[in-house]
Parts: sequence; C-alpha cells; structure tokens
Amino acid sequence: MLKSTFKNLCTSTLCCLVIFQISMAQSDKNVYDYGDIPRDHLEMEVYELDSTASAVVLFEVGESELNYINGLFQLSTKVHRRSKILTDDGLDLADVSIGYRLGDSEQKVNNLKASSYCLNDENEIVETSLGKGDSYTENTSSTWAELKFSIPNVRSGCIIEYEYEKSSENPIDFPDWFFQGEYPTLWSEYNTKIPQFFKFLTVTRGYQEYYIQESKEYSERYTLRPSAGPSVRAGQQNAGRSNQGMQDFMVEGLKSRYVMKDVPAIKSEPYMRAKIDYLAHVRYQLAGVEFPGELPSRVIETWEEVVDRLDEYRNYGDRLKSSRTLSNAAKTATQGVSNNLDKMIAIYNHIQDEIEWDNSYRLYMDKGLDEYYNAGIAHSSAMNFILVQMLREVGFEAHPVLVSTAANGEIIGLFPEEGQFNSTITYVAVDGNYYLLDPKNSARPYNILPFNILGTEGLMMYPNQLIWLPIDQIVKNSSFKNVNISIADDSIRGEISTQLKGLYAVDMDELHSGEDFKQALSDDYFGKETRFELSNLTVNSAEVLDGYDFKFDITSDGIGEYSTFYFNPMIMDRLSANPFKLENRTYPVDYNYPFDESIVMTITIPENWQVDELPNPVLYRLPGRAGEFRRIIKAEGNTISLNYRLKIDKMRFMPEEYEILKGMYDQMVESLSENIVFTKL
Amino acid sequence: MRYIFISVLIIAVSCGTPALKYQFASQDYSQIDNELLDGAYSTIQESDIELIIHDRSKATYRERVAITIHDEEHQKYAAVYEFYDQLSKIEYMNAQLINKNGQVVKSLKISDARDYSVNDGVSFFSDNRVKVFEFYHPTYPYTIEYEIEKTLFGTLNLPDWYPIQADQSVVKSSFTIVDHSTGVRTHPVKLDAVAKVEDAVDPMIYNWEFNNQPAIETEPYSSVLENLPHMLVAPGEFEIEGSVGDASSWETFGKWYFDLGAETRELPQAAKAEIDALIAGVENEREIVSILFNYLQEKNRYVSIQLGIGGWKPFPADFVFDNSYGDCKALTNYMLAALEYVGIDAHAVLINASNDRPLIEEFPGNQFNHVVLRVTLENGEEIWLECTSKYLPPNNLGDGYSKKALLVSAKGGKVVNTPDKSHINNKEVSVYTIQIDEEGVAKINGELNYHGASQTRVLHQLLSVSEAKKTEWLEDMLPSDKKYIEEVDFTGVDSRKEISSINFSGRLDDYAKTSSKRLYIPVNKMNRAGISFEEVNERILPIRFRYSFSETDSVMIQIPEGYEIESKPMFRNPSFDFAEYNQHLEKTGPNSFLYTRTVNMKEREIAPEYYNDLRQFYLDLRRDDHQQLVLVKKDT
Repeated sequence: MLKSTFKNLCTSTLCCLVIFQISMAQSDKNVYDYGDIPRDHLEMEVYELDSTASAVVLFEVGESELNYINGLFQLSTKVHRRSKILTDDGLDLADVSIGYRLGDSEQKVNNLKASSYCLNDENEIVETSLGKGDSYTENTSSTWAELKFSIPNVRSGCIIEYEYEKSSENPIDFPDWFFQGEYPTLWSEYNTKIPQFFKFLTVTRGYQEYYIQESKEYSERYTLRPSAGPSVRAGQQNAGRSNQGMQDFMVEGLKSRYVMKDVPAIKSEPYMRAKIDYLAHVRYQLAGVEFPGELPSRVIETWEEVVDRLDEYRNYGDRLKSSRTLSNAAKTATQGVSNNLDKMIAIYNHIQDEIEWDNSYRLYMDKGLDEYYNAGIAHSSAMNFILVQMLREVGFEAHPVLVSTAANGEIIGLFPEEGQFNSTITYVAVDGNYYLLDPKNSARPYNILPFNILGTEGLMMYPNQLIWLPIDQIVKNSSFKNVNISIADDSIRGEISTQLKGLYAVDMDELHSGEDFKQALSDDYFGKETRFELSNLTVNSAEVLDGYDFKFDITSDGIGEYSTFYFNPMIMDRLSANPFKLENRTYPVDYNYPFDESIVMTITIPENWQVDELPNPVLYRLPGRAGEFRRIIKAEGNTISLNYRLKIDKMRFMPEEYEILKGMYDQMVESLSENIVFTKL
Repeated sequence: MRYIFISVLIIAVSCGTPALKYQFASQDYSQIDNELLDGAYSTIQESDIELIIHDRSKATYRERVAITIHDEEHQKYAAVYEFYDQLSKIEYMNAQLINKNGQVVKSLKISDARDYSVNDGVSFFSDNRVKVFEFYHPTYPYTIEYEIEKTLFGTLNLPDWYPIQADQSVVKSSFTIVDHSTGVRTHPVKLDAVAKVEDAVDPMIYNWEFNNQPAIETEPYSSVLENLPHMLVAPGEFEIEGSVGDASSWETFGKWYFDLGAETRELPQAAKAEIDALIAGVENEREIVSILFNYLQEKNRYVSIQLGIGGWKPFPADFVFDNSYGDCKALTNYMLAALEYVGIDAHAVLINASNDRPLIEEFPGNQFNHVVLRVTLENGEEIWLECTSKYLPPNNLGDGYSKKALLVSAKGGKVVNTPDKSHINNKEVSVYTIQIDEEGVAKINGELNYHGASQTRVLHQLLSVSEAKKTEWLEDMLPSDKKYIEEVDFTGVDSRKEISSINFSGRLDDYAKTSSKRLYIPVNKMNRAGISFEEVNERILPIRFRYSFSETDSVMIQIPEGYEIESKPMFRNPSFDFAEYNQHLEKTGPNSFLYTRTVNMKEREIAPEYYNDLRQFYLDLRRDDHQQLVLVKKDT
C-alpha cells in the first residue's frame, strides 16, 4: 500500500513522453552495426526500468581475440559502445577518454570512429562524425596516456556511438570487461577468442546474473614454426620470426560470449567498501602457455608457490633475519617479564613507542629491518616485519600474514597473485592460542585490529602449507551507558556512566587526547546546541586496552513552569533519519565492524507529577541472529526504566536482506523520537 | 656587485651539500619566537622569490623556500609542486626534508618528481601539467627546503606574490623583480611592504620584504583570501605565442583580446543560412536576440578546453558550428559572430566569475577567468548573455550582483558594470496545506516559488534531469523518511519566466508523531534554518554574509476531529541587525491553523564583537523552527 507511486505519476507532462519499451526483445535484436540507428531509439524519452536515468548505454560490445599475425600472437580488443542521452545531465557521456599504457610493451589505440545521431526539425536523422584531428592525446604520467575526444553535435535526445581497437603484443593484457557502470546498460556483451595455447583463469564478480553465457570450440589454420615457436615468458612472447621449417598448423581454441541485460546503474549509499567489489565485471588472468612441441610454461603460480617465492624474496620474506639490533631491542623490551602473553604485549607496545607508521600501505621493503627500526619510521608491512622478527627473537612462533584493506578490494582466491594484497599483519602463537596483531596505529592496543581489514581473510606466510586466516578481533566493540535522571520542578539532573570497548574505546581515545575533553564529550553526546550542562567528569579508565570507563553529571532547566511535560528519553544516540534510502539495493550492505550499543536508564519524577503516557516497547530482530534493535520502557510509580540496545553481529548483508535491515532502521527512527508524557497532579 | 658575491658563495657552500644549489641562511629551524608559533600550523622560515623579465617574451621565475610544518593541518604545504604547460619549462627543482633534530632525512631532485597532467575538475582538454614532490614525515615539526627555477615563454600571466597563507607565520620573506624595460607593474593588497627600488634604469630592480608576521587564523564566514596580504603582478608589454599586447591600460589590454579573436568570427555559410531561416520575418531586435540565444543554448554544450595561447584564443566560430561545443570564449565568440552577422551591436565582456575577487580598476591586467556578452539594441537597451549556460535567460548572468568587468571592442577595452539585478530579490515563497489524520499521516499540497538566484539554482538542478529525477529532487527536500508524491507539475520551472514554480501533492506518512492519545505536530517541518555558530573565545575577523535573500512560508494546518490543544508553540522571534525574522501561528477555524514564517536577510559584514549575539540569534531561530503543537484526544 505504501509503495512509491512513480507509476501513478501520469500527469499531463508524463503522458506525452515516449516511454521506451524493451520491444526490441521481440525481434531479439540488441546490437546494431555502426551507423544503423533504429528510429525508435532516437524517439525514446524515458528509460522505463530506471526513469531517473539521464542516459542509458543502449549496448556495448567488446571482442578480445588472440590471433597469430606476423609470427606473434597479438591481442586485439574491439569496443563498440552506443548510448542514448536522455537529459542534459547525460551529456558527459559525449566526453570520452580511452586509457592505454606507454613505454615498454606499448599498447595502441587505432581505428577510432565516433558519431552522434540526432533528429532535426524535419524529423530526419542527422549524423555528425568526429573530425580526424579532433582527438587529443594526454600523457597522464610517464607510463599511461589517454586518448580524449568530445563527440560533436550532441544534445539531449541524441544517440552517440564510438568504436576503437586497442592492441597489444602481450597476452597478459587480456582485458577485463565491466558490464555495469554509472549509467544503466541495456545490453553489455563480451566476446573472447582464445587459442588453446593460452590458459586463462576467469572470474565473474558483482551481483548481476548473466543473460547469456556460452562457449564453443573453433579451429583455424595458421602457418607457424612449431620447433622454435612462440613462447611466453612472464607474459612476453619470444617468437622466432625465421621462415625456416614453416608448416601449416591447426589452432584450436574457445570462443566465449558473455551477456548481461538490463544492468542497473550503481547508486551509492552508506556502508559500501571499494566500488570495484560491487560492479559486475569479468576478469582475466593469464595462467600459462602451452605451445605444441614445447614444455608448458606457467605464467601464474599456485598460492603455495606464491608463498614460497615471497618467503625467499629479497624484499619480502628474506628481510626476516635475526639481527643484533632487533634481538637486543626484544630482550630489553621483555626484561623482567615472565608471562608469555605479557612478553608479546611488551614487544607490541615497544614497536608502537619506537616506530611511527608513515601512513602508507606497502608490501615490499627496499631496506633492511634494522634500517627501518633505526629511522623510527616504516610502512605497514615493514612495521609488522619488525614485530614478527622481534617476537621470534624471544622465542615466539610468529609469521607475516598478507592482507588487503577495504579500499584495496576483496581478494580473488582464484587468482594467485600477491599484487592483490597491499599490507601485512602479524601472526603469533602464545601458549597454545594465536593472536593477530597490527601495531600501525599507536592508539590501538594489541587486541584491536584496524577495521579496514576486519572480516577479510589473510594469507599466512607459512612454509609448505596454505593457511588462510579469518581476520577477526578478540575484543567486541561495545558501548554501554548507564543513565540516572531525576526530573524536578527546579532542574533536571542526571548521571551518565559510560563503558566503551574495542573500536568505541579507540574513537573515545581520540576525543580524550584533544584539547577540551569535556566539550568534546558534550558535542559527541548531545550535539552542539544542547540544553545540558556537563559537570563532575571522572575518568576511571582511559585505557583502550581494558576499555574506557568514565562518568559525568548533566543538568538542565526544571519543569516547574509546565503542567504537561514531553520528555524524549533518548537524550543521546537518537537516530533522526534512515541512512538507507534506496528502494532496492543491488549490492550488499557492508558494515565496517560488528557492534553492540546499549543504554540502561532510570528516570524519576517528583511526587506531584505522574506518568501520563509511555511509548510502547519495541523489539526488532534480524533473522539468523544477525542483529537486533530493542527499546523497552516500563513505569513503576514515579520511576521509569528504559532499556535500549542496537546490535549488529554480521558485517555483510546481501541485497535480499536489505528490505528487512532498512525496516529495522525505519523502526528505530520512529521509536527513538517518541516522548514520555508527564502531567502535574 | 652584490649578486656576484652571492653566487660565489653558493658555489663554495654547495660542495658540502650537493642536494640544493642554494644555501639557506640558517639551517637551524628549531628556534621560532613564541609570537610566531601562536596559531601557526606552519612557518615560512625563509622565502626568496625572484622574477626576472628578460624581455616581453621571456621571464625566469625562481623560488627558494624553507618552510617548517608544525602540525598535520599544514601537511599539505610539505608537498612541493610546480605547474607548467607548453609555454613554460621547469629548469630545476630540488628539495629536502629536515627533521626536528636538524638531520636531512630525504632529498629529491627533478627526476624524482611525479609528473601529472592537471585535472582541474573542469577542463576536459588541457595541457597543464604539474611536477610534485610529496613529503611525509610523522613527527612534527619538520622543515622542507626547496628551490625551483622555471622559464616562462610569454609574459601575459606573471606569478603573483603570496608571502603568507592562512594559519601560517613568516620569519623572513622577500620578493624581487628584475625588469628589462617591459614596464612590469605591481599592486599590493593588504600589504604594507614598500618596494626598494635599486638605483638602476635597465634593468629596474624592485625588492619587497615581509618579515616577522604572526599567523592570520582562519574563521568560518570570513574570506581569508581577502585578508591575506599579497601582491599582484601584471605585465606592461607582453608577448604570448607571437601575439604582442600591452596590459598597462585597460584600453590596450582590451584591444589585444579583441584582435586575438578577430579572425575567428567568420561564420560558415551553413550557419548563416540557419540563422536567416530562424529570424525570417522577425523585425523586433530584442526578439531576434532572444531567438538566436535560444538557438545557441539548445544546439551547443559547454566543454572546457584549455589549450594554446595560455587558454586565451577562442576556438573559431566554424568549429563551434561544426561540433556544437565550446568553452566560454568559443561560445561567446560564436554568439558574437551570429549577432554581427544580423547587424546587432554586441561585445565580449571579460569578468571574474568568483565573487571574492572584485576588479581592481586602478590595476589593468589579466584579472579575469570568464567572458560574457553584452548586446546593445538600437534604442540603447542592453541585454547581457551568459553563453555557457543552457538555461539562464537573457539578462541573467547567474549571480545577480553588479561587478566591474572589461568590455572589449575594436577600439580597445573599457571598464563597465554588469547589470545590477539585486532588486530582483533572491526570494522563495512557499505555500502549503497540510491535512493531518489520527495516524500522523499528512496529506500535503505545496506551491513553491523561486525568484532570482534561487531560481538560477533550481533551473540548473532541474532542467538537466529526467522527470523522475526531478521528483526525487523534490522528495529529497521533504522532511520525511516515508514520502509519496502523488502529483507534481514541473512545467513552471522555466528559464523564460521571472519566477519558477513547482506544484505538488502527496503524502508524508511520518509527518506528525503519534502516541496512544496524543498528536505532536511540528509547525515548521518544511523550512528550518541550518546555520549554527560554535562557541569561541574571541572572534577576530568580521563575519561576512554574501547573499541577501528572503523566504516566506505559509502553512495551512488541518487537524483531525476530536482533539483538543494541550500545548502551543512559543516563539522567541529573535531579531538581529541584518535579519528580519518572524513566526506566527493563528487559529483560523475549529480544526485549522495558519502558520507563517518570514525571513529577510541582507548581505552584510558584521563586526567581530557581535559574534556572540549572532550565535544566540541562530540558537533562538533554531529553537523556534522546532516548535510543535501538541494535541490530546478529547475523550481521554
């Protein structure tokens, strides 16, 4: 009943618009030759599946092929993209940049064509093509260039299209294909032709389904020299170009076709990680090359091999060496400490005291650990390597663990490449337990990990065994507030004591380290324009490790001048608007971390007042114990007790769970705005 | 003589420290006066900037700076960057980072710099590039020393001198200009330094010093830029890509710009034919301008292109005709060509689009970043055209405030005023009827009217998007999580009208809060003031409000049967020097109320001592904006 009434929006303005039906589907024609423009596409004014769209990609077709030309397997990718501009906001689509690599093994962009098609006043189709000299090359850096052009003669209502061919001699460049983007896409198609000699790993990512996914074998006759035929080393071909011993040769391979249809645009909302983790796309990774008469050569390794190689690599595993500096430092730091766990903590704290993180995420170390240690500054992996080595110096079993931060994107397990990782953390075994540590930020004690890796998996650098470790935190993130408020004619007085653990304590620590903690607390709890005066601040514990524990009193004007008083007990932590606005979310909701917030409150009112009205209790549970919201209020005489809790136990909610999650926030917005009403007797 | 002596010294010292050519006077950066530390996130320890103008086509720019960063806030000034393009070349660029103990931690030379093309977020095509050193050091303070030399081929745009940034103090800073008879000119802004002119004729040598200056702190609602001392530099005679001009008077500068575009204004035959067809039979000049402008706006789109002649020469009219796009120069030039063709008098007018840079009339030179068109009809009536906007009507340049600008013609440049449209108030008038039921659901009818700059904003936000997106825009304005627009009419959003209006009706399901026996009805949920001021110890700069505007809201509130009023709003209706403000609620029937809210704000600069009054004003306003009507069921 409460569905949006977009479709009832049939006012005079809309009725005369031509709404684009997917009528093409009847003729099953989705892709057209360059320049073949169906008139109804030009007449289309609104895209039915997303009427807010200011442009749609009518179709885009990519064809990537590896063909044997001039003694080499050459990669060519043709792209043909056609879009419809629906409103002026979509005119940006007519400004196009095509990126390509410069320098060694250069890529080339050729055969660029671009045109616009518009209806003129006589309802004729007018085509305008990009002039020969009207594209520009911009070298964005020494290794990357962009071919840029603006398609001429474009207004809203027009169709634009362009095609080009990008080529490379390096099969490792085999392009990924994005089916989804900033605008809705009616038809996105990727065709690949890969000879059997080339073994690719492919993976499809995102949250959209294929409309067509098919493959068939093909064979073609080529002339080549099998005995000294092309070979690929680290992705580079090394082909013999001599004509001696030429012979005809059949090349067999696989042609594949991937199609997605009616792909929605990605619309941003809170609780997102790296965008690439949500966009529908297919990725390619050259795994190996097998030419006839030659031993197969592998380009990609297994994860075990990646670990073994990294373990011996000069700028990674090989950096872990005993040194007098680190050994002495570890012994000094643990002097007089007998308990193993305390020793581990002592070393962790020592690194936080002695070394600053340079704010960068890097994997490799171009200097020895001693050098980083002595300089007192290091990147993410170097800091953890020092930690690993120092732990080893005093007899712990410790190993580096490769991780990828949220902004760097999820690890694709199918592609064994260390390039997917951007940082390292530390594994250490202590008395039969293991701990994951990351000392980068000195505000975090050993038991709290940075939230941008929580919920991911890390690859442990463990010899001869493949171990993926879930990156979880030992300490729960919790916030608990105990509130006592007494309301009287002359004043409202309250006492609030707060206990924070985990990442809540880390955040509070930052406030605590600022100039005016009391003011910062007041702003944090009650906002800038509060009616509460804050006093008697007592901090019992300002340790992130054990949790923050503090209390303060609040006062405000009394209620003597009223005969009826409306009191919203959520004097803090009130949610005023639902962060989730989309009707459907086509990608998951990713929380940074699980959390648990609660408030227990007691309110007393004077003898000559009574409770007139109390909000109803509410409890909203997410399925599968994934989280809950509750707000229970009870009154006994002149004492009211309130119990509030918001808990999220799971970090990722899939698109099908969106509605119920959004519903919980709706309920919160509503319930947390409710008043208790007191009347004077 | 002095120069020779210094250069010998440099050679002698640089043997020891090969990282930099220049030896800074002091490499002990640890001692800074407390007065210079107060409020400073960074300190310029030593800055020595030289501009040598060899002749009108070539200049050398040299910077030697030592800057100490005290706080993460100014980490950005640890990045050394220098822009260049096809008309300039960076000759060398060296820098080093010195930690608080005086040790050189890192030193970089030009080959270590990152080199990017500059994406200014506006230009699609641009040949601007930048070389950057990015330093990072976790412990403060630390010092960056750097030196840069750049050759400028062409002297139209000479670098200005900014000896100080916001929240920054200066120990010692100097600026030297060596001019070989080109007649370079300077203009100090908030700068007391007086030039020391050396006793020489050719070259003329000017030198300024700016020493021991405490930090100027940033505060909200003030223009730090306007309060920062700096020196503008403009050429006399200049040359750029073979084009020679003279910026020493507005007349000659305008003449140069006019001539630069003169040969680009030839319309192709096809364009002439289209124009002939469009205006066939139309006699009225104003109507012809309107038809041609409409034609320009519909056919073309704006693409920013910053290539060649320092981004000054317009793309020719036939390019715009063939491609239907151009930047401000090209589109204005095209419109000018069209008007010339039909025999209507029009001239390009150079302006500065940003509001915090009023034209300094006594200092001719390039103070511009945008161009518009002024049309003069035979009867003397002026029509102003903003050719880059697809929506703004004739005579609306977007901001509505008169500013000084440079009109260019064959006769040269002349300073004129853009039209003053401030009599058209920036005004929003909204009328709602809200009918509330027992569930707190509101049926709403609204009429929204936008005048002046408010209209400009609405035109740009709405005319470029789909009908459904417009509805989303309206929904986003409505104060509710559960809103359903049932009917809406955007046809009144029209650039040809003085007022744009939107009519809609719908439902807001969570408008009023309910409980088992009460209804809480916010009287002003539609338009609440959003400004607030933090508590501060002492305000230093004046508080500046740049826009005059007025708002009028009337809400007819209909309540359900069977309730009585338990509590009514109590408005404080605060007033303040620059603001008239009033809210009022009156009972108009047994179950109906009329709420009105009027606000008139004037552009004003408020002295710092009134900061707390202003803060209290907004606190009261905010409190008033959140008042509610509480109803209770009669039978309970």
